[in-house]
Amino acid sequence: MGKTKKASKAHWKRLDHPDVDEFLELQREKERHDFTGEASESLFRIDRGGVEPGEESKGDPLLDFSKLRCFQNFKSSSTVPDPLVKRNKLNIASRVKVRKTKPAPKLEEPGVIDPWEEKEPQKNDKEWMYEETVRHNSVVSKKRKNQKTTALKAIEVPHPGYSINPSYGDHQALLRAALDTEVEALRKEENLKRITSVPNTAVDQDEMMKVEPYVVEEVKTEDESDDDTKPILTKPKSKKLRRKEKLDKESQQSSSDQKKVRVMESDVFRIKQIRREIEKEEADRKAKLLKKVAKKDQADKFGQKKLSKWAFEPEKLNPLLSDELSGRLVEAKATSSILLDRFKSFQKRNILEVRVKQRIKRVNKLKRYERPADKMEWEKTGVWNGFKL
Amino acid sequence: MGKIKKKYESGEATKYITRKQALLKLQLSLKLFRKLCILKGIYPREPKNRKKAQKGATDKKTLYLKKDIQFLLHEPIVESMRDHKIFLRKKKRAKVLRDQEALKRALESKPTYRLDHIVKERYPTFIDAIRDLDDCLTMCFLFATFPGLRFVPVGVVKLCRRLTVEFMHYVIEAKALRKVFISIKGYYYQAEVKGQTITWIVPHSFGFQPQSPDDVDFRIMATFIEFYTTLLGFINFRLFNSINVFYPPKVLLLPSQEEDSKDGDKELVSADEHLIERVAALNQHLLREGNAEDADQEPEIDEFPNVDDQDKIEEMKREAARVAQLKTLFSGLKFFLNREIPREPLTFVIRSGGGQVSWDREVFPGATFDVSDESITHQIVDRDNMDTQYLSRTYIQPQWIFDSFNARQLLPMENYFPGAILPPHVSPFHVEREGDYVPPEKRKLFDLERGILTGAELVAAEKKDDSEEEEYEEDGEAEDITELADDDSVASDDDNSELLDGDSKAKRKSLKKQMKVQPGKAEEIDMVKMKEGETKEQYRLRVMMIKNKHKRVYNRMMKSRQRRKKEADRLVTKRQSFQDNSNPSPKTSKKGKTGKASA
Repeated sequence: MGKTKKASKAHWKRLDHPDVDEFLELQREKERHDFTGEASESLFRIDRGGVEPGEESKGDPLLDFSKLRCFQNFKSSSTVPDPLVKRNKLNIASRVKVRKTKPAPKLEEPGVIDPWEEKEPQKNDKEWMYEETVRHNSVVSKKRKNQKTTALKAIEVPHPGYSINPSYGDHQALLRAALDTEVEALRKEENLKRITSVPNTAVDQDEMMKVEPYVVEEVKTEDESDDDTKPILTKPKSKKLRRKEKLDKESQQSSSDQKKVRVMESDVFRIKQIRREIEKEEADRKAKLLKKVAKKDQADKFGQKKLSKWAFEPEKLNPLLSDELSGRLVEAKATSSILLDRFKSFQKRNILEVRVKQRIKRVNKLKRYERPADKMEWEKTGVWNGFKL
Repeated sequence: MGKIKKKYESGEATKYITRKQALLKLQLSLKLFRKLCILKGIYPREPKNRKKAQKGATDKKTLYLKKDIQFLLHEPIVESMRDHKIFLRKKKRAKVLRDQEALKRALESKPTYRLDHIVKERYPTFIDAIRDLDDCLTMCFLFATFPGLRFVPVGVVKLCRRLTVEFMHYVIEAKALRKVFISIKGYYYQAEVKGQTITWIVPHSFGFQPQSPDDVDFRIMATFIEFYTTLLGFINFRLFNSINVFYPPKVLLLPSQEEDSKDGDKELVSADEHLIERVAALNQHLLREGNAEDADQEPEIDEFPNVDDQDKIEEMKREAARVAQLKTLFSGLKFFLNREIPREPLTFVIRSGGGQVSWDREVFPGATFDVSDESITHQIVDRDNMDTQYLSRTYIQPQWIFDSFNARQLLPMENYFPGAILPPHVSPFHVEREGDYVPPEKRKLFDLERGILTGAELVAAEKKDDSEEEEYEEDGEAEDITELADDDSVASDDDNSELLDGDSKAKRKSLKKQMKVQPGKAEEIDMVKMKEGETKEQYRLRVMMIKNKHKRVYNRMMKSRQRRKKEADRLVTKRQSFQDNSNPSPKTSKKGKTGKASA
C-alpha cells in the first residue's frame, strides 16, 4: 500500500481549503440575510389542504410515464401535428402493468358448522371450508382408515374391586392381584441380586498380611511318583494290548450294526405303532405351533409394541386398603389421577411412544466467577462500615 | 452379469423411516412434528424385523411408515406451523428490543389454523366420530377440572367445561345414559348414542393434583385436547340438531330466577354469564325447535316372525323394555340434594331418569326449588346426624340413586337410610356368565329385576297352581307344584310331603273310590312346561346337527360350563356351611338355576 495520490478525491477531501470555505460561508450569509427583492410567496407557502390554483391534480408522479426515457419511443419524434384527429391514441399507462401487492386474505369466521352434512362443498361455499381445504382435502383410503393400533378399548371396564363401596369378595380379589404383582416384582429383584452378587467370603486382613517365606524346593527326581504336580507317566501300550483293543472295538461295532439291522427288520411289524407315534408327535408340534401363533396374535392385538428404546411400565394397581375405604360418597378418596391413567393408556395403545426426560449431566464442573467490577466493596476489602468481616 | 442386488434397497428397509429422517424431510422441529402427528393420527410403528427396517442398525429407533410421512407433506397446517414459529420469533424479538410498534404488528398478523378438515379426514362419517368419543370425552372432562396451566390456558379449560356441559345436556335430553359406576378413580358412565355404546370417566371433584413432568408430558396432552375440543364441538352441534334442540343451548329463564338475578337493583352477573350458569346447572330442559311431542315418539321394534333366533329377539325385546323402564325411572319424583353431596353427578343421573332435582341456593346457581318445598319426595343426605324435619319425604343416601339406576328399578330404601351400612356398590359392567357363582345379594337383585318382566306370568302360574292344588287336595293326592324356570320365592314342597305321610290309609280308600267310571276331565296343558319341553327338544336336535368340526369346540364349551357350575356349587355349599355355622337357625337352600334358560 503506497501513499494516496495527491490528485485523488479522497486526498482532496482531507486537505484544508480555507479560501473555498470562506467563499461558501459568504454565500450562505447572503442567502440567510438577503431578503430584498424577494416576495414572500416565492419563499413561503401556506398549506391549506386543498389544491393550489397553480397546481393541478397531476396524478401519481410515479405513474407519469411521459417523462421517462424508456417510454419516449411511444411518443412521436416530430412536432408536426397529426392530420387525423381521431387516431387511436396510445394509452401509455395501459401498456404498463402495475404490480399491486395482493391484499392479505381475510379469514372469515365460518361460525357454527356441521362437517358431516351431506351436501357437496362448492368452491364458493364459504360456509365452512376454505378454498385451500377444498383443494387439499385428501380422501383417506379404507385401508388407512381401518388401521388400528390395538384392539384394546379406549376406556377399560374397571375391576369391581375399585368401587367406592366394593363387595368383600371383589375387594379382596383386587388386593390379592395388587399384592401378587408387588410380590412378583420383589421376587424378580431378589433373584437378580442373588445372581449378580459374589458370595461374601470375609477375608481377614491379618491373614492377608501373612506372607509365606519363599522356600527353594529341591528338584525331585522322576522316580518319586507321589508328587501330584508331576505328570503321570504310563507304560507304553504293548502290541497285544493294541490288538485286543482293536478286536473289541470291531466286535462292538458289528454287534451294534447287527442290532440296527434287526431293529429295522422288526420295525415292519410295528408299523401301526410307529404311525401312531408319528401322528402324536405331529399333533404335539401342531398344538405347540397353534399356541405360539395364538400367543403372537394376542401380543399383536393387545400387547404393547416396542416403539422406542424404553419399555412400557404399566401403572401400578393401587386399590384403597380396607381401613381407607369408608364406603361413602362424600369421603371418597382419590388415589390415582386420571391424567396419568390416560397418559399410560395412550402408551399402552401404541399411540404414544415411551419417552424419558433426558437429564444431561455435566462432564466438567462449571467454574463460576464474578467480575471485579460486579463485586461489592466489602467483598474486596473485607471491611464494612468500619467492621472487619 | 446381471444387476447386483444390494442390501436394504427393497422390502422392509424402504417401508420405514426414522424420526430424524422424518424431521429432515418435513423441516419441522421435534415438538411441532409430534404435535402434527397427534393431530393427524399418525403413530410410530414396530417393524417385524428391526434390523432390516433400520438398514442394519440394531438400536431401537422410533420408526414411522414412509407413506405416512409422505402423507403429512401435503398437510396445509404444516405451513401454518412454520409461520407460527416465525411469528414467535418476531414477537420475541420485538419484546426484547422493546419495540412496541413491531410487537403490535406481529400480534395483529398472528397466524391461526383450523382443524376442521383434519376432523373430516379422520372421521369421514358421523358414526366414526362417535365411535371415538370415549377418549375424547374423558380428556375433556378431565381438562375441565384443571386450573390455568402453562400449556393449557384458561380459555381452553373453559371451552372444555362448556363442551362437556353441552354433551351432558344431550345425554339428559336423549335419555341415553345406561350405566353408572362410582370408582375411586371417578365416575364411570356408559351411554348409548346413535346405537354406539360410549363409556367415559369423570373425575371426582377434588383439587388439581399436579403431576411431575417426568410422569406426564403436558404439551402432548394439550395437543390432544386441541383436537378433541374441535371434535367434540362438531359432535355436539350435530347431536343437538338430531334432537331438534337449539345449539348453543338455551334455557327458559323462569320468573322466579329472574328475580334472583336482579338482587336489590343490581345485576350480579351479565346476561350471557347468567345463561351459561343456568345451562351449567343441568337442571332445566333446553329449548327445542318445532314440536316437543315429536321428540317423544320412539320407533317401535319390528316383528320378525321368520327369523330363526327367537331367543335373541326376545332377549332384545326384554332389553328394550328394561331401557324404556329406565327412562321413566325417577319420573314424578322430586329430589333435594344436601350441601355435602356432589351436585353434578347426582343431577345428571336423576335427570337422565326423568326426575326433578334441586339444591341449596347458595351452593350453585340454578336451584329450582327450596328445602322447604312440600312436594319434595326424597332428600339425599350423607350425614349420620340429620334431624329429620319433614315427614313427607324420605331421607336417603346417594348410593341408592346409582344402584337403582343400574338395577333399572327403584330398590327398597331400607338399606340406604342415613346411618345404615350400605350394600356394596356393584359394577354394572361385570356381566355374569352362565354357571358363575352369584352371591346371594346379587341374586336378590336379579330376581327383583326379573320380577318386573315375569311378574305377570309368575302370578298367573301361581294362580293356576293354586287352583290345581285345590282340586287334587280333595282327592288326597298331592301334586308337585310345577317349578318355574327362575322361581325362588315359591313355597317349598314341605306342605305337600306332610299330606302324603299322614293320610296313607285315606289315600288307599280314595284310590279305590276312583276306580269307578267318571266323566273325563280335560287334560290341563301346562303351557310353561310344554314350552320348556319343546325348547329342550329343539335344543337337542340342534346339538345333533352340529358339524363334526364344530363339535369339538362345542364339547369344550360345555365342559368349561360344567366346570364353572361345579365351582359355583362348591362356593354355594361353602357359603351355606359358613351361614349355618354363624346362624344356627335352619335356612332352606335356594338352589335354583341362575341366568337365562339353558338353551
